[in-house]
Amino acid sequence: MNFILLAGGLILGWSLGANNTADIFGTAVGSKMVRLRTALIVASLSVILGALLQGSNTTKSIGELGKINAIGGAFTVCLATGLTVIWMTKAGFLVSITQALVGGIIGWTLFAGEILNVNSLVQILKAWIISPLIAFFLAFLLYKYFHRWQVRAKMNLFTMDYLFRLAFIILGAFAAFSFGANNIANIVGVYIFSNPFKNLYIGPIEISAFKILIFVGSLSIALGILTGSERVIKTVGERILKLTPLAGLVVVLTQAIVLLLFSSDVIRKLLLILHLPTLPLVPISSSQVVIGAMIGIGMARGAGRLINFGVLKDIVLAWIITPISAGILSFFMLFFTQNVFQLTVRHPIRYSLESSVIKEVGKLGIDTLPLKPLKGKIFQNTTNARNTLLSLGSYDKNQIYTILDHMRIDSIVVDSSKLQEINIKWFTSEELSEIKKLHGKVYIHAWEFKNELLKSNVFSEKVKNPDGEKEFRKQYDLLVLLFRKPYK
Amino acid sequence: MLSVWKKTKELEGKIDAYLDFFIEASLNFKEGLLMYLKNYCEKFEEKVKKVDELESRGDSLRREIENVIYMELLIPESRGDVLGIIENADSVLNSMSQVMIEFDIQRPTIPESLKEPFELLIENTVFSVQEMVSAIRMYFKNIQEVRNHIKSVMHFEHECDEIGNEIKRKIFLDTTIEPCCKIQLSNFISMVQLVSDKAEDVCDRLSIYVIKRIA
Repeated sequence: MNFILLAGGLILGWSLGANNTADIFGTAVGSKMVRLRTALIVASLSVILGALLQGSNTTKSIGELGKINAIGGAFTVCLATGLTVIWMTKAGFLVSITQALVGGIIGWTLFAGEILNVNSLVQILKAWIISPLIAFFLAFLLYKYFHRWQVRAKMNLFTMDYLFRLAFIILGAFAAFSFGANNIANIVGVYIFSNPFKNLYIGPIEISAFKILIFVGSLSIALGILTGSERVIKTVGERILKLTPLAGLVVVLTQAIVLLLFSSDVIRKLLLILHLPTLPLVPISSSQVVIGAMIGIGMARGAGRLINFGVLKDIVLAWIITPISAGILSFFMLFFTQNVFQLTVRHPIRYSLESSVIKEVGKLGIDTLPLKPLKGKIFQNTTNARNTLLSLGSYDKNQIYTILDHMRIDSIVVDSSKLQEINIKWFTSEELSEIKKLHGKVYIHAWEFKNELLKSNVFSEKVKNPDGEKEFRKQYDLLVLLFRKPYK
Repeated sequence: MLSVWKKTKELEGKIDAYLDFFIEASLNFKEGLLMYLKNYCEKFEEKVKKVDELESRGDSLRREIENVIYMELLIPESRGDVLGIIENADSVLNSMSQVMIEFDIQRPTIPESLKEPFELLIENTVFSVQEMVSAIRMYFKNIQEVRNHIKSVMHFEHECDEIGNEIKRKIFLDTTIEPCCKIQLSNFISMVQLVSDKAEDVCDRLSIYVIKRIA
């Protein structure tokens, strides 16, 4: 059954490959600097390599999708997202898989009656608006600079042409590598805890089920690149604005820089030190970045009026339609999956407000007095719990979210054998032995498990510095996902 | 990628070889016509054959270059412009060959008094062709230098116009020349002038392509 459910992720992988290669190689192919066939081969190989070599560090995306707490739900959301992207791709639109996925997750959240994390949604929406704007200005400046260099460089036309080609392939391969590394979580993230594969033994070599899963996921992206990306590549490369090789290169460079700005912790810290505004570290759409960069270059060339605004309008329209239609499709498909195919698409989450929860919430500086009358109460679903807290009128949205997080009834069963399913690289041997010491213990609330972990010297020392604290939070999120009962 | 580098370098070599034909043809054109003026008929005929051969070799190399650029997707950004330059430049080579052939067929009699200005016309024509070749080479190697060579071509073309018109005036004022010969000589002067005119046409296009690359 799990193999069938994996198909949802693989369809998503296919559409991811079909769509997003255009962001990387569209301009190179459009300016005829790289042959379509070369682009497809380089992109698919780089994506597989990126997923296999760097794809393990995908905690964030796993956590994000992990909110969907039933494999049936994850399958349906992936399928709805994939179908939306395929449908939009077929219509020749340049769509963002991130947008479709966010739409799909919102669809599940609404269907399951869960709370929508408005804060992170606002952050993502903000990033969707800011990222093309940054790309616009960055591409404008980069183009001006490189163009001046190109004119003054006194370089042979043929040598320059060759250098451009080389730069396209190298930057393109690098971008595809990062693309594979960053996106593999979207494809297989939700399946890590219901992996249909078993460890494979080839003579003395053992290939973990986790690696096989990542490999299969990356193959689905590669297949998407090879069989479905041609049309979108042509949209990016030819229809919006005819690009010169220099312009194409600036697009790829801008894309790499902007993606880094929104995903690098180091850059965020640097901006903080320089007292500059920071950017949220959220998944952004590379398609939007590309479009922003293209318009920036158009303006830098003084050719703003040459931009095909008809096509641009279609693209912006696709940005709005994609998340909405993915959300609606996901909502209705979840209904069918649950009622027609009798699959569990959500595990209802229950909440309790016993004294230990109130005490723990109090430690965070939240006034617990209004909670006292509700002591001992159990809520059968999120909507109930949230409405009750809202009716108290004493807490803002953030505080309600924190309280609910602590009230959530989980069943965290520490099973150290499960550690083999994940990438051991994330933990040191001391940390692993501390976790193994908790084998067999059961926790009703996730924070109890966290407190238990922090009792050990290894983890308590680690959280004393900000970087260690951040890493611990990631490790903790992963362990919760691993040991949480409904994921069985 | 190595094969692309190899093909790009091969193309560069072919374009260079093609432009070398112009230099060689222009030198033979000059020598041939000077021989004609000095009545060294055998040497002149040799040069006619040489220019004609260079013209046909130039044609086949031009076709080869066009095929390579299109088939191998080389220099995609500038290929239209490069083809435009090459095709236009070809007409300069054709004109030089045509002038030589016509001299060979019609054997016009050049009056002694016109030989010196005629030599001057030939020299300026050859300079215009050679400067055109330099302008084209610079288009590939150092775009900032193209403008200087284009200016030189324009200068020599203007000189050719002035000298040619002066010769024509002298022809029609000379009462010792038969009217039919006057017409014939005037046509020959126009044919030689056409070579520098074509070189100027190539440079006019070239200046647009330069703006395209710099803008």
